[in-house]
Amino acid sequence: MQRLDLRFIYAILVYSGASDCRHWVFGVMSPPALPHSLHRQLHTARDLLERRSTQEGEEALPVNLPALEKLFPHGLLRSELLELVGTCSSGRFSLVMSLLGAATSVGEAVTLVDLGDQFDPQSAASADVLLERLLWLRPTDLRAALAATETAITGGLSLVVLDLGTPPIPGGRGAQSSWQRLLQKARTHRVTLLVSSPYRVCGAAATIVVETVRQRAKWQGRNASNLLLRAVRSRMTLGKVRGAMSGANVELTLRYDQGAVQEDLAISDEAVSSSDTTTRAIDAA
Amino acid sequence: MQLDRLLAKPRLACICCPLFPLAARLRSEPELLHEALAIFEGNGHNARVIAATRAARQAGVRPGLSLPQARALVPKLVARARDEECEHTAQEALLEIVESFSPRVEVGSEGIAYLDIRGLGRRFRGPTPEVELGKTLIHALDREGLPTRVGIASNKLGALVAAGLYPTPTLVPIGDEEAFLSPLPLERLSPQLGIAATLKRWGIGSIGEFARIPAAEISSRLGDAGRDLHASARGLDLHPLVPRAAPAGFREGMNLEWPLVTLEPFLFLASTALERLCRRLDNRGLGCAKLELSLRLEPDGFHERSITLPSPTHDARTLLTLVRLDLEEHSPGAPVTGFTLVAIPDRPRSAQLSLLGPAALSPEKLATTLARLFALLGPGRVGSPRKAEGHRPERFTMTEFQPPPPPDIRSRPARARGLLAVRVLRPAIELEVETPKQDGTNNEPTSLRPLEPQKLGKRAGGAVRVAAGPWELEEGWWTEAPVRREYWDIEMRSGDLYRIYRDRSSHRWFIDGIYD
Repeated sequence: MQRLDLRFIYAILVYSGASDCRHWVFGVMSPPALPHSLHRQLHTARDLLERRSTQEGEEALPVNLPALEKLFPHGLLRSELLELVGTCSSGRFSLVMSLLGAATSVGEAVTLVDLGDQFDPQSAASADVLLERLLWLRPTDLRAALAATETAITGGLSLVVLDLGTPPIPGGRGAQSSWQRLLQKARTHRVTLLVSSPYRVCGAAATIVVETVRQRAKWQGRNASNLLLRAVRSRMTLGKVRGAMSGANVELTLRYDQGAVQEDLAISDEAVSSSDTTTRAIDAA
Repeated sequence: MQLDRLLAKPRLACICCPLFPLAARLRSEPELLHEALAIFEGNGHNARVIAATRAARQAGVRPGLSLPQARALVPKLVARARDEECEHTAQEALLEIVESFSPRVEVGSEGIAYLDIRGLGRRFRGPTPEVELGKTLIHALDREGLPTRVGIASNKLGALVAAGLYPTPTLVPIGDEEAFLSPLPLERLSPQLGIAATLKRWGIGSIGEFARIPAAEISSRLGDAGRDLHASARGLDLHPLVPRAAPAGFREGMNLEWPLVTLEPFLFLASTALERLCRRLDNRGLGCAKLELSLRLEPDGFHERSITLPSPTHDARTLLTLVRLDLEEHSPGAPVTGFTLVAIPDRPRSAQLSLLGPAALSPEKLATTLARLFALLGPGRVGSPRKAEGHRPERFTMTEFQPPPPPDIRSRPARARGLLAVRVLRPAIELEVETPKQDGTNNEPTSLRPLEPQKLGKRAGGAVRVAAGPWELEEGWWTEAPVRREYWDIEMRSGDLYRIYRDRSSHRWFIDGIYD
């Protein structure tokens, strides 16, 4: 009987994906001589993690804005705490509406914890949010908002959005331990938690931070009586991604929906500009 | 022949809880189980012991002793007055558990129920399935804190007598009821006093001797009451089993030994009552849709509250939180001497899970979550938003959150239109606005300042860079409070985009929206 050489230990992992079934082989050391066909299927642990995140992306919450698709090509991963930061009129709330609309349109039930009590059902319905799939919570202070968010996470809803409104946030920034606790809850229950805030509040608990910066508003017309607000342009920057490069940015144009002015509402691809380098960085994330 | 006998003869199980007042009290206060406890009836020197725990009985406490006599025997005797509320809820709990075996249950006297067990024997294995059924009944009731005995026979009297015998469950074979009852003393039939005296004069001492007298002779001498008694002695039931109607609500409660002034001790007692209530609801596959709380106050009076839940739940912790929040908001204002909790049940939501679509919400989990959120945030702050009729942008309605089931197959979302959303300020914040002309001919805002800057932040206000408008809004002109507004979209020098309006009735300016 041939003696087993323990210097090369290989594990054969049968990985059952959603679409196919692959055999992945990885080893402790590079083998001195492996058949080329087998060597091609050798992957590092990093490769496996990337593949895993890709596979998980199939279960991720979808996004339906081209600019967001650039930032999150696989959608919003579950078990993450995404912090969306932006000043007044920077398009932050519009992004929240867009994410709620995308999630509800595919049949997911979502929660909006609205600390400022600023949610407008009419505006949300225009943004294609299916209101019957939206649970709207209206806490009066940050403490109640955090408790409601934690309770909502345990309820099994796939996307929980905590909107802290406009500054000043009633109740301050909240304790760092509270945000860590929410992150742990989100991971336990595989929920995507989105915190929309005028300034950074989550600290180290946020796994992804997106900052929205107001660029300029576009008006049409000459004098006040026939002047119309047509669009607001803002820039989204990926401020932080845990375990990946940050700094990627895209431009976003948000159109003003004013009843009779219904033409030209679809966003053209030209409105979204992003450099190839930043896109690659996001893909790696 | 066997089938004919089975069809002709009903099979009844008598479930009897001995020392029922004691068992009911121990169910409400299980921590007293190993104490020397006596239940008494009456006041002052007329107070008599009617039941006692084993520890008290071993010390010589017997039913009929006065309370001072019992205390003389056991100085550390725990005495509790008979509590009708406890007994009522214990009786309800007993009936509900028995009804989980078959819906045909007749209410007997205190702690006694009759169950029609025809056909139930097939569910139980063993040489004598009816005995197995009896054991299962005893175990189920024991879990609820009600020690019971079971007798099975073809008539109520036979079952009741069998329930009083050892070992339990006692089975009387079909057709043997007369022979089973025959040697028993006549007192087992509980005859009326007049009839008992007559039969004693006749020299009849046992049920068998009474049954051997011809029925016609008994009927002619003792009337209808004697005829019914004679039929019972022969093992016949003249009155068939009458199943009880399902109750509208589930009830728990107790009378307190001393009045409670603060909330925490009451919540401690209420939590155990709610746990029992939720267990009973759970046994029936129901949830609490509405909780009615009735507090008896000192010296007399009631404090009644009704808590409607957003979704049926049987989570005791959630119900307790709701009770606490409600009582904190609506204090009874007097010491509490007793309480009753009534749960109005409803079927919990059900859902069909999808194989390929997004994961559906667990109805039970969602119901519990909604109830907790309701308890946390209060009424009117949890729900699903809806657009309201009318033109005022701040208007909305809220409905119960009942998401439709997800689609069968997961799909990709449609491309969004990328619309600018607006944050609605509720209530609108009043502004001080400068316009080019004060005479009202040109109301275009040139600068503004919020009268409550703490609500909009320190940087709010200043010079207006662009102003577009006005758009007029008029609503409810036929009412006493019509709405007439001039709306403007403005861009501040800081870049903030606001939606403001001028109230044409009061000529005051407000900001009611932020484009974000």
